[in-house]
Amino acid sequence: MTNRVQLTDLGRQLPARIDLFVCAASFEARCRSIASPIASVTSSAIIVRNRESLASSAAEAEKLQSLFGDKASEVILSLESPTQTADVLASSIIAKIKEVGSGNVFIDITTFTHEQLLILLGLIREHPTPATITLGYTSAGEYSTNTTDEDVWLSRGVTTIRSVLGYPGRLSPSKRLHLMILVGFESERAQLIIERLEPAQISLGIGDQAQSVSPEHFSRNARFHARLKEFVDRQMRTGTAVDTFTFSCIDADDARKAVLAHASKHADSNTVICPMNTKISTIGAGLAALEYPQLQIIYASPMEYNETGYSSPGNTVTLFELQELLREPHLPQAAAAHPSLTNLES
Amino acid sequence: MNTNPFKVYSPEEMSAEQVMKLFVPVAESLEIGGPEHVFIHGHRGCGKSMMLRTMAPDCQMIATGKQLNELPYLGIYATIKATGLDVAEYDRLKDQYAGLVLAEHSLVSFLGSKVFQSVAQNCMPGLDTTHARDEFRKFVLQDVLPRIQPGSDERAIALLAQALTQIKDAQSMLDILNAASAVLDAMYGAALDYLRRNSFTTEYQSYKGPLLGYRDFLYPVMCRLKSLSVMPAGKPIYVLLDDADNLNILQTQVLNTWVSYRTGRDVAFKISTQLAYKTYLTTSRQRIETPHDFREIHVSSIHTGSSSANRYPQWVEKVVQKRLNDFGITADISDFFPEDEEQEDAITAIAESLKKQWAIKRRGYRAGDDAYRYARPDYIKQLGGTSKNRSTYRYSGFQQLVHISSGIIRFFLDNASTMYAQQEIKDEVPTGDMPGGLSVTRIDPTIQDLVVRTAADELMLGGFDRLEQELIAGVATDEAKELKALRNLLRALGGIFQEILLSNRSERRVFSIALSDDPPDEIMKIIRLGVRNGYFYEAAIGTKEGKWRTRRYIMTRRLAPHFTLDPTGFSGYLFVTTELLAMAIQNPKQAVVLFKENRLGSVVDDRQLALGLGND
Repeated sequence: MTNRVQLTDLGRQLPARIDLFVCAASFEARCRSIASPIASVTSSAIIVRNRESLASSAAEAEKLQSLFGDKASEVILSLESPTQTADVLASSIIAKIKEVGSGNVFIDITTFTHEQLLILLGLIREHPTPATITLGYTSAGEYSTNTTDEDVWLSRGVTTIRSVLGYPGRLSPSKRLHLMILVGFESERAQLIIERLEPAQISLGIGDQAQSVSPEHFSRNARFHARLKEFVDRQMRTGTAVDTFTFSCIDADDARKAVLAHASKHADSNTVICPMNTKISTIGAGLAALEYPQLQIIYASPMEYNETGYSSPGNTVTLFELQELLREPHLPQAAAAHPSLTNLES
Repeated sequence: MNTNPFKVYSPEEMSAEQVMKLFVPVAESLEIGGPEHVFIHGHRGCGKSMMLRTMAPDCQMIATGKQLNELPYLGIYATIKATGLDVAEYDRLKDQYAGLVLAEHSLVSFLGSKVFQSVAQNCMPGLDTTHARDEFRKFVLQDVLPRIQPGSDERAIALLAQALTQIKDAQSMLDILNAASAVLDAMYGAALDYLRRNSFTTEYQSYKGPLLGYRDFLYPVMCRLKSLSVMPAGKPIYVLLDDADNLNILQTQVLNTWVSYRTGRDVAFKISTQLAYKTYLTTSRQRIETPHDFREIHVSSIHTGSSSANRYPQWVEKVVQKRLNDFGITADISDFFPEDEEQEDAITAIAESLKKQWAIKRRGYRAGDDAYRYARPDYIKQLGGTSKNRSTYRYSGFQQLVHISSGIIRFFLDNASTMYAQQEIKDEVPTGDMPGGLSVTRIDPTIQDLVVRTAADELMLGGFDRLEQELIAGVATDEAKELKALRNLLRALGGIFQEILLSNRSERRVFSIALSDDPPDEIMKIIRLGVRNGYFYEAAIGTKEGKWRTRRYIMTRRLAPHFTLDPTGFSGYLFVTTELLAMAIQNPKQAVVLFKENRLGSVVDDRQLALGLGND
């Protein structure tokens, strides 16, 4: 169950003791929003950093380190090698989760990359644990703080597009490609993905207004969606069907359901999902693909981030328990809801 | 039906009728229809996919008016999508022999499925007869399915058994073909399932699923297929493999191994790449070579080389005219994309004046030569020293637009499509289908100019130039750093080319660089990045000394409006040293200054080159 709380109330919503806290140091101050109020009740912490951005994450990493003192250890991942990332996550975070037994684990997913988050999700599913794993996501107060509304950007360019490790899909050579994009504030990158993949069918997902982080986010998100749709209408070839769907930006399970519901409409195609919205909805997409392995998830690594004005921290945190979402009972429920996907599997 | 005649279609999604209605053979005879392996290289949008698509049987039947079994070959069209065959899990197997075996199995089952899908999509008219059905049923039951060893993969075993029954009972040709495709899809899926099991472990996982190889499955199956009486009997099969850059390194090595077999008379591969083919090594680390193992065609070079001077514009004209005709307009293409009359009158006046002066100065070989070389640059120069004044130059008229497309038809069509949409808005044309034919009959020069200028700026600024402001030293990935270096190099070269255009040099239309020495790898890496991303085209040229040939890189003329350059031709080369390139990458402004001071680089007129081997 998803719980949205004020940062100031976070302490009251969590167990008295957190046996393991995990977060990712980045160039954003947002990476400390959760860590700060819970550091005193945390027994051990793992701070994740990326080898390719050590310099830009140095300042925040130092602040995180000083919050936790010698309770914290640092783990270095690679943005360029997903297998290396998976191996390091397995030997550090997963190993540590096993150590805490049935204790409390809190993972701040806010500043992980979408790809790393999905890999971590896959690893946790591969290694069942009695621990209680809570995921937390700090919403942004404002995105692209150094630009006007028209010039909003978070990341730009695409260096490579690859399937996410653990989500290769089960694509059939004889079927056509259906690309589902969970659109965020990055219409230019979404356009590049469409151009490179040349899908036969495109589905553009927009955050549901009632399930958006804030009305302002919805309005910006909708504008980017419209820009993207305009691009698709203008540029894409005749015969390329463009479809739309909505999903929750703040509830992973609802996002999972929305992804599956829409993918089931395209069961006669190879569906490839590109999550580009909140990390919560990315978890939802990951859960959908873990349930239905024929769905592939891709990641387009950005050429650059808006490091100087990516976001300002918001004052709310979304909390949800992961094991609840990973429990197998979902499968028959989803099977009933999406018979076409189930048929594909049989 | 859409109302924009310039919309770009994905050949994969087009019907044979659409393809043949819109396709115009490339200006040069590419000779890819022979029984040999061919690599077709070219930037995105240069027409490679369309070329391959026209070789599929449905298009060939329309083009030749022949029946399927009378065609000179059977084309099997297959596009490799970016994350289709190449999944991240292959990284787990990259140093293992198992990786190569699985890569071959994936590629074989992928293409095997495509064979049946391609027959279903591209051969069907006239194929659903009792005779054809019986022949195909026998072929699949006797020659295809028995060759599939499903291993101990329960799912594969079950699907194979299911397919046997389905094919025996099939009432239509499509049922047979779909069942055969489904079996091979399942074999492909078994490999993906195994790869998934490897996602999060470094420990060896045994593979117990099906394994299909080229020599024991795909090749014999295709040889048998081409012997069927309903197929082009006895004729070769051409596997038309589009976008092979999307294969991973293991799959690429496997494909190269197949190419090395030189089986072209039975099965020939026509492989297109977007200049990023990963390797020419085979699985046994041998290199496949041209011309022994394959032929190689560079479509972009064909469109931008000297021999293309007239042919590329003529080809584009035919392509565009066909599209306009399809919408009921027969007017001359120059009337549809008119020049700015006032500007062209002024340029003509300068040309006439130059012709008169030729008798006195005699700079070129003949009067017309002088006028051709200097009139347009002189006009741009006359507009004034500030960039504001020069921005009044109009990039309009069919010929200029063709030159700006820089040998890539997609760029012409994309711009034309945008121009058309903007003209519709300006003319307040109602949206929706226009039963009476085309609603827009001409594109204003101002709209033409605006669209190509916007596209050029976007090429330099969109997600590229902004790096300068945003990139913080030491935090970017290697690729981002290289892109910044490439952006700097383009800025420096564009700036230098503009300086040359505005100078009093004898040759002012310079768009390319030739290497005077051998730049180090880190500089060549940046240039090659530019080639791969379509900012440069590569060719060879004789050296100034005439002793050997050196590399030449032509900057895309899509950038001409960004730097206010004359796109209509080039005949001089900027010979550059490592020093200039290094300076350009580090500090583009300084590189331009040093060039102006005659301290870096030298411009050579093409007629001064000793060997005169030109710019092929």
